[in-house]
Amino acid sequence: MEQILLLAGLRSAVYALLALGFTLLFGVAGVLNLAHGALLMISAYVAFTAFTILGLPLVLAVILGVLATSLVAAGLYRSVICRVQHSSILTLVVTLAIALVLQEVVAMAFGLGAKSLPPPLGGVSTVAVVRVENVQILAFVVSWLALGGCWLFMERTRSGKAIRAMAMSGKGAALVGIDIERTYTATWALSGALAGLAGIFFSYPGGIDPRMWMDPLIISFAIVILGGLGSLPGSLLAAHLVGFAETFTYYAPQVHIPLGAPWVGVPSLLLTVLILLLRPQGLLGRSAP
Amino acid sequence: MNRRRQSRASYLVFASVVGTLALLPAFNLVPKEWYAPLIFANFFAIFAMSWDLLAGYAGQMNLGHALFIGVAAYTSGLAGTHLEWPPWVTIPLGMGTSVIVGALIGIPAIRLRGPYLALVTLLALIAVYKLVLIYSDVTEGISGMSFTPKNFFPPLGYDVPLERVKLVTYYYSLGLMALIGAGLLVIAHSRWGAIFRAIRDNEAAVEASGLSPAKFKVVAFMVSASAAGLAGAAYVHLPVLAALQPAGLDGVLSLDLSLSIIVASVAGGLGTIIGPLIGAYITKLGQQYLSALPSQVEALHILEGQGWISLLFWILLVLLVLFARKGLLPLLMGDLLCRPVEEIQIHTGRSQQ
Amino acid sequence: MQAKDSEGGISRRAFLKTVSATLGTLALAPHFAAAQSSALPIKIGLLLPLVFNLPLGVSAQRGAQIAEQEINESGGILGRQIQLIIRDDQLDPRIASQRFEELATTQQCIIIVGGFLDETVIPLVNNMLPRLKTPFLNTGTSTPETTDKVIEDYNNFKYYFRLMIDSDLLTQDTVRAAKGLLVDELKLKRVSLVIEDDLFGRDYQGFLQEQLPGAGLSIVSAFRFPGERNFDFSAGLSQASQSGSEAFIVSFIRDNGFGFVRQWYNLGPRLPVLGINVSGQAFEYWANTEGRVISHVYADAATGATAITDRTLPFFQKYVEEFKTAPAQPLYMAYTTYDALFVFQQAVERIGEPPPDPTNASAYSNYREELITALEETDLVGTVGRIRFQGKDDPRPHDPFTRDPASGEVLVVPKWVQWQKDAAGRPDRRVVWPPEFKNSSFLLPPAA
Repeated sequence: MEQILLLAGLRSAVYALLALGFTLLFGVAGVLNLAHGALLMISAYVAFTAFTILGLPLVLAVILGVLATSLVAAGLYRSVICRVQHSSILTLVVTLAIALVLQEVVAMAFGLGAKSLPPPLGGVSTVAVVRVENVQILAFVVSWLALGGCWLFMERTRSGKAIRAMAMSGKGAALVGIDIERTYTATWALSGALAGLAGIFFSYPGGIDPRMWMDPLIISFAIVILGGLGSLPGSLLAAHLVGFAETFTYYAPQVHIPLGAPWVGVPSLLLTVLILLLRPQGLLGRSAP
Repeated sequence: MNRRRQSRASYLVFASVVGTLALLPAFNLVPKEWYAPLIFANFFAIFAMSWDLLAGYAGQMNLGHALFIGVAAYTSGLAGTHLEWPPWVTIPLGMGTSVIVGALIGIPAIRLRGPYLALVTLLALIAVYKLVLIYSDVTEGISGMSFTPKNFFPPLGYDVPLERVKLVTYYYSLGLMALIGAGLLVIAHSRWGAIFRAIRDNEAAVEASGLSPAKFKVVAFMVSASAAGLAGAAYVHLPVLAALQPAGLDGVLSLDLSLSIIVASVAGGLGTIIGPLIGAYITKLGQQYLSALPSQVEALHILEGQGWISLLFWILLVLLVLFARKGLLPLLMGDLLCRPVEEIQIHTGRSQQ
Repeated sequence: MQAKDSEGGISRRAFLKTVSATLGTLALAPHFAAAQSSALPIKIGLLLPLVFNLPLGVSAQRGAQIAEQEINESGGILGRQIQLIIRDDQLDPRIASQRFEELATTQQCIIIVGGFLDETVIPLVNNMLPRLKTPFLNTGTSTPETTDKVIEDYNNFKYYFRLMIDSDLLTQDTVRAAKGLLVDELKLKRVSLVIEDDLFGRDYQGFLQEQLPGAGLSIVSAFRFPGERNFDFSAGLSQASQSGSEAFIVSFIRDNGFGFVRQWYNLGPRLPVLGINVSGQAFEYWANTEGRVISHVYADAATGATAITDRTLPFFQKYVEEFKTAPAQPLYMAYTTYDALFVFQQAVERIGEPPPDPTNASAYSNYREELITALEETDLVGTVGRIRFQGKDDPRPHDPFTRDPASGEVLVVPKWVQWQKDAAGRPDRRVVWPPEFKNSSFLLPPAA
């Protein structure tokens, strides 16, 4: 049980990072970005290419991956999403189509098989009798740093304040002289960068492959909808709930409960659908539908 | 143009499409490698038309239409292989299950609007797909199922030559398409169809007129699910290429199928039934044409087996949404389809707030 | 196979296509020259998984091309050149069936070779074969279901032959190897299974559960994972260590097992690993897993390390010299597909006359029937062993004999190949089982 708790704690930090970009976009632009999972994939594949094929140092490769994802996200917004974001349904259709486009492109370039990106930090540690890979601890630390950094950015900087203002009221923000288009683009870029960072850590331990985008997408949905769409503290709590539920499902056979590896993702799906049906405003969040 | 003339024109177009398809083999206009794609196109047309009734008419955006198809296909396939029930029992059974699932998805639709409903349909599809993978001892998981003559409908054994099997299956699938398509057209032009459209355009007005939008939303889901379910169940019992796959472009529980239905319908023009019908044939046959190219044209060899057809599909969808929201066909043919066509912009959640 | 893969990507494919086009033209050239003598090439269909440059399919295609070249350079079959018609099954049952039909009817191939996934081959055999009546030399699958069809309904399914052994026999051989290596040598008693959830994996797990206890091994945990995407194996690993497991038996077909190998090495427990890993046979696997695959033992049809027969090493050499891109060494389907073309050659030579003109439909289909009889008499020393198909009344008709029923001589059996390091620290694949082919002793995994 302590194993499950510890691993859930480690995992939840990455989940929180994963959901942060997603919820940010929803809060600010009202966009449910179904390509969020595919953005994770981009950073993982860019980092993989930079490291394995171009032979760059891993840290540089990771930074490149994150930057590339941020650029792609901003580019997607400017070229496609800005034309459809007035309608949430069109946005859903288009972002889902984009996720599939990215999947096919990656499959054409790299094949269907999984690739693995060597961890930036090798080795294994024993934390309270549980063996964990060091990269998981690193992921935990980096995720919390990124979450903290993001919070500071939102609270302290001008752009962050602009984003928050937009989240409260688009019209109001425009009235006080905030450049709406620029803020939207910045939000997409930030969301992409967060997804990119999460993508690097999400690729451990399994590896990266063209269909890896589905699970992170489902998980971000669960977290964001559980925590209330657009609510940051709610998302953080929800990330830990979902993280625990997923980890528990995964390790359930060890406490003789017949769930296990194939069930991963199902708790998130169930939670999402139940919350949508029973309490659409989320556990803590503002009202949604 | 008044409604009566619109509906007459729809029936006319529909009848001529069915008639043309029925005459093709008689004039030897179908090369033998085109039978299988045409058979699938017949089914795909049913999928697209049933989706259109729900999304185009009733305005209930369904991102997971494959759910109805897949549930029926799996119910029917599993009952056929594990319980050894004959197809004429399992096909209605599959359709029935699909109607129940349609109602189950339709009930939340009473409360949920726009993107949230679309999300539920999408997540429900993913959930069922996961269940199929989890219970792989029964469902064969990602491997999919394959069938033998005792599961075939129409029942054709190994003694029947392949050409004949294809011809019979072609007419069977075309008949099914004509039947279901005509049914959907009748519903679309009936009082129900008018109510569906009214729900899409202005739900409050429907309520004010004393009708229950809730009831009709569930009805729309059930009608759409029954059409898709009947086709989905029949789809897995064909003697031509009898295999049931959960994933992939033809997978009965795949996102790819759900989205390609949307591609075909949007290309053809939403809210017309006829548009998605034509869109379905064009996209499926186009897909077949393109997929055969690399093995025939030397210069295109490089594309063989590269998944570029799916890629084209999804790019086409993005382009359609960006530039031709009213559909390619209406764009090209203007008023020929006789109906001011709707945009996919249905419940725009935010703009209502 | 993957890391290098992406570098070459399209350009390698283009190169391959040029090679095959050139070969095709070469094969056609004599046809134009000798048009008067009506010596059309004999068309052989090749149905392989080539989608997204799947290494196994690419390797099998190369194997077939080497055979085509050798046969044509030595004067063809009874004076007729052969020509390969290559089609991609895209790992999709529907497309596989469509392509098979095209090869058999439109292309008028006299025989079709290939077929990798159980999932694509079973529907094809079930529905296409009895109607198309075209001999099919299956070189990639091991489902018992197809052979069961030959037993049940010989007249409709006699067109099916296979150069592989089925999963039942493969399991028996796994159990034999496990007994030899794990029980007799290491005195182990408890194993854990890690199985990809597909048709093969489920068959394999079922047979293992039946047969392992007989060899003195009990299964203490089983971890089955859906093989459609990358996966976290830490739960399976910690379950194995908690239940006191002493070895792993694994099966990876479409999944390339990177995740498992990585976590097995990093997290432990580093117990001996034995089993099936299709990608793990590729020479590039060592680099792709950064050497973590060390000490894993995977079944293979043949390797460049051992002369299974006199033909194994020459084929291996030729392959390695000709193809420098991934997969740089032949995978199992390259060996079986290469052999299949010689099986066909022998059958035609046994009949004594080349196939008739396909425009003469009845003569052509008669010839296909004759081919079945001739194929049943196959006795060919190939790269994977001596190939003799079981007859109609043997237990597994149209599968190869693993051992001679009378003399017990080894014919076609899997070879259990271990990933080792040579003196210079370079990766080396050595056969550790069966004793007949073994060229190294079994090494334990490195200590953590």
